[in-house]
Amino acid sequence: MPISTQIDKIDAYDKVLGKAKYASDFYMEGMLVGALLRSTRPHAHIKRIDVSKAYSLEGVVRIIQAKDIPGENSFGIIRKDQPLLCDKKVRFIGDPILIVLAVTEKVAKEALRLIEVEYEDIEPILTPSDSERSPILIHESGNLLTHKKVIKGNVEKGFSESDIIVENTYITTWLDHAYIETESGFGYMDGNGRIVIYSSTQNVHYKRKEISRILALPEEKIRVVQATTGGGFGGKLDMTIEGYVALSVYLTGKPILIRYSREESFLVSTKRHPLYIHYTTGAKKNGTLCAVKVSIIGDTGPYASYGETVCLRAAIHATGPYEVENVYVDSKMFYTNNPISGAMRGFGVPQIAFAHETQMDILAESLNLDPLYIRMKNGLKRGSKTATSQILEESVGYLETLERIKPFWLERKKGKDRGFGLGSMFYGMGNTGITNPSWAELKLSSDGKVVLYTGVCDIGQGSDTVLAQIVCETLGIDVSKIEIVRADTDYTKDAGSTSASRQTYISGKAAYEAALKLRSFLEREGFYSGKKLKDIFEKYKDMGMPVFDGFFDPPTTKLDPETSSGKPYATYAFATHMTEVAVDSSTGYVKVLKVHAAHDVGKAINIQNVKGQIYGGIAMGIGFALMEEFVPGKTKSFNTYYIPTSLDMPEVDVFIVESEEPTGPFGAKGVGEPALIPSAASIANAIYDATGVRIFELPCDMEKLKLLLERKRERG
Amino acid sequence: MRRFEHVEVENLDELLELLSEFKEEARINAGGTDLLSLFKDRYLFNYPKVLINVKPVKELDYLELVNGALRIGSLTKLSTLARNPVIIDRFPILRETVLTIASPQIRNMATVGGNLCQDIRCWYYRYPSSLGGPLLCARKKGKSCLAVKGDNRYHALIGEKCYAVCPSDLATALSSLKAKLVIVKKGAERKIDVWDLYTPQGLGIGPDEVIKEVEIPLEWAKEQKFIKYTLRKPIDFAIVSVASCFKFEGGRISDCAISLGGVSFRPERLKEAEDLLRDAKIDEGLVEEIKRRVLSNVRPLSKNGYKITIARELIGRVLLSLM
Repeated sequence: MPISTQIDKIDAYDKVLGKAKYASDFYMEGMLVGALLRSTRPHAHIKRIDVSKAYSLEGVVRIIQAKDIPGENSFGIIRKDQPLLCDKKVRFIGDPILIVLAVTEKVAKEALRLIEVEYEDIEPILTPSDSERSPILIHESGNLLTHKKVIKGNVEKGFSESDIIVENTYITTWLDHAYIETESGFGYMDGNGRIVIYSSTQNVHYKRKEISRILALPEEKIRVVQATTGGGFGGKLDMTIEGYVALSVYLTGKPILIRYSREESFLVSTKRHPLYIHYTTGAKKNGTLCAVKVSIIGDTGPYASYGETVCLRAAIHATGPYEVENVYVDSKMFYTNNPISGAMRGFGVPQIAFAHETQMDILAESLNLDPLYIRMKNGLKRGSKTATSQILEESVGYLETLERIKPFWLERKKGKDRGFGLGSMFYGMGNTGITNPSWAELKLSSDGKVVLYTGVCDIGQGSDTVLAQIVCETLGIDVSKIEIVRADTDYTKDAGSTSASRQTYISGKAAYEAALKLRSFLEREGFYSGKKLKDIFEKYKDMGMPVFDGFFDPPTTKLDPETSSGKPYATYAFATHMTEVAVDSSTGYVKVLKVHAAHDVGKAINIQNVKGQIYGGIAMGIGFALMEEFVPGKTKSFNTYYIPTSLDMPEVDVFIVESEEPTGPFGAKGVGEPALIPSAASIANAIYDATGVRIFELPCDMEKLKLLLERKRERG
Repeated sequence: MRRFEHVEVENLDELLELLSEFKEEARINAGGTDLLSLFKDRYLFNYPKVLINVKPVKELDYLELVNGALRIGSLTKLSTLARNPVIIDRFPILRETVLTIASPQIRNMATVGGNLCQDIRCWYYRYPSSLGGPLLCARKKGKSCLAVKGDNRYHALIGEKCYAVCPSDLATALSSLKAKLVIVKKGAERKIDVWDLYTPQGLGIGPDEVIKEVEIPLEWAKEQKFIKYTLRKPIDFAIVSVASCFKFEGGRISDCAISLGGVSFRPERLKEAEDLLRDAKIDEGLVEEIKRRVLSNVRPLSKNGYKITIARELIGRVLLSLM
């Protein structure tokens, strides 16, 4: 049985043997290398650009500016507010101004230093509150990017019925994805004058659309292929190098390579949104939640990127996996001249989970209830009504995740400076309240194999393997019998982006649907009574081999513009982590010792992949909770941005809950982002358990925790 | 990287000759582990014209016991220190310290002299010019230390004009062993204490000088302890570290040296605490007294005061472990 059994990742051997080809491994005769000149000012008008000295440097072939762009000089996943190359105004330190193409990377970078740019500074806006009040506009449309509300019931009535009200403010900061491969892309013009781009990306079809706008070329003239990609976590959803590579190919006709250095990647890649969360919870003495009122203010940086998604998703998930009768969430995103914030594993939900989980623990303590009990009491179950008034009908495994943790929770033994914390989460699979379909296609090949054509970008998370398993399970064939053509706009249909934990659920279902069609064809052709695939192919090769396609778009509804009521997601994943920490109370050093992680994934198609996601999520959670912090203007690389290493990792026990989702392939949902979301919250709660100090701001690094511990001691 | 002349030397005399000729315009490339980021990030204004590769200089790669001292050649690799039997036997503190430095790959390249002479880690100072322009600080054409008014959580408690910390853990450990450095230039040789290698504005040796060897006195340091506090477990610089060595006679401390890392522009010897400990018997009262006095006359910057309590706590732990 290909699913639910241990299968090696399809791409693993090529990667460890160095055979996998990443974008910067490509080379072609006559290739030019591009480098970008970037703004040194956070907010300024560009007065003058002088490139004459750079042109006189030997090896410089072409310098490309905004005026050379044939189509639109703008891009953006939701709002097209980001210029490809700035010509009038720069809005953050790192905003791109021009591209230098040269015979080598070294010459290109040398040339950047010979270019003079004269700026006229504008006062930079560095906080959302300044952005809200300032008369200075970052974009002509105003400094407020978006404002969303989630309303259910009557929150004031809820508070008046509450026995206790808990009110706190939570703050999080910028984080970097820190993927192992920096942004890079290679492109060339083929014999037919079409532009071909290989890039490190999470979505090929979206990139093709953007390139088509920028070059004013029909999409058919552009081919985008995903090169092997070393991680994404949301940072490769926006256009990174693709636009620059395509423009350079278009203007020169030469093969082009552009790749970011680690420092450049840190400077310009999108960051996790810093959120200021003001959270008020009202509850009855018995622990029943009556009302939740949340105000979220986010710093989206100079361009929209995924700011609108984060704004809405954080609001929708603000209650956590609990049923609350009265909800009022007000969520705003402001432009600033800080780094661009965008998509990063969880779209704002890890931040909001830190808030709602701390609130739950404070409530439990104030009411003298067990933290697990209060979660159990309010937890979402079948028939529950969420904050967007969606009735959950199927696959609600939240309480089961608590049940799986319960024996360990009840048996926990608190030592000196040791503590245990719980963190729970729910997370909607796929895009929010919009259609987000996926296609898959299957064909037979002449060597007797099944070929899966999928637009899904495998960025290391393992979708290739999972999709192959789904197809093979459906067809009853071995995984060695399948080949995958992946993420190539010429050969695969749009599967949407690798984000929002959606690919196993949505593209997995599309692959499953295609496999069902192929299966009935193979039944008719006698495959299951002994005929070989090769012979079936032979029979059809002259009259044309049929293609079997599958399609899935999860059933969602558009949300009400005022209250966000509706069905934003077809299904949700659930999880609970129980984390044990040891705190050195005199120095503030926290060691995460052990995590019990229970995840409702619907169905684990590949158990090893699910576990891998959870281990990785916890590593990222430790970073979020204890050490990661991007400080604009100071953090430049891994020597100032600390991510946990294997020595910082705890022992992890994974418990897989399979509350099957009827619309998913074999009942599967997803786990990519859920793996991370409850982690930091459970660490923060464990620190409280160990020290009596509440964490309201992340990261809670040594010096911060130490200060809090000292203050507590001073108060006695 | 900027263009430079790359010269390879085969012995110490050739090196000293070149240094006396080029002075500030020359840089030594030993392991290259720190030098690489200097070139890559371009955070300085003046780059060397000549890079002198000293890897072929075998005469500075040695560990030997002579005249009551252990002599370590400055081109000895850090990884060698970690596995040398004499070190393991007599100076376990050096092994312990070295194993907290960087990663195995870096320790295989990095040298003793290079580690002692590595550049400061201040994030203002090191911010690369290529990203948004250089930050002008007290060491880089600027008037004042940007950390004083800025984010100084990892900066020094003790400094002067510049508040970068001495980044070398090895220096902290060697200070507690009362090690000396033999400094040579063309036609001259002198000996200095390890902590005198550092000044608040940079290294306290001339551009034509080089560390030839480290000389560690034998026989006195019977108890050796090193504790390093970092944000992340491996591959990290010390927030605070404590290296200490003790000699006991009849249950009393007859000699000791305690050195703090991460708090000052140099490894900070705690002479006052050492005086209190000498000829004393450690008890809880004395430990509390010493903890109270450590760094008591220091005025921290806005965000680095926590280092004082961490330092006190670590010293307390060392002393209590000796009881």
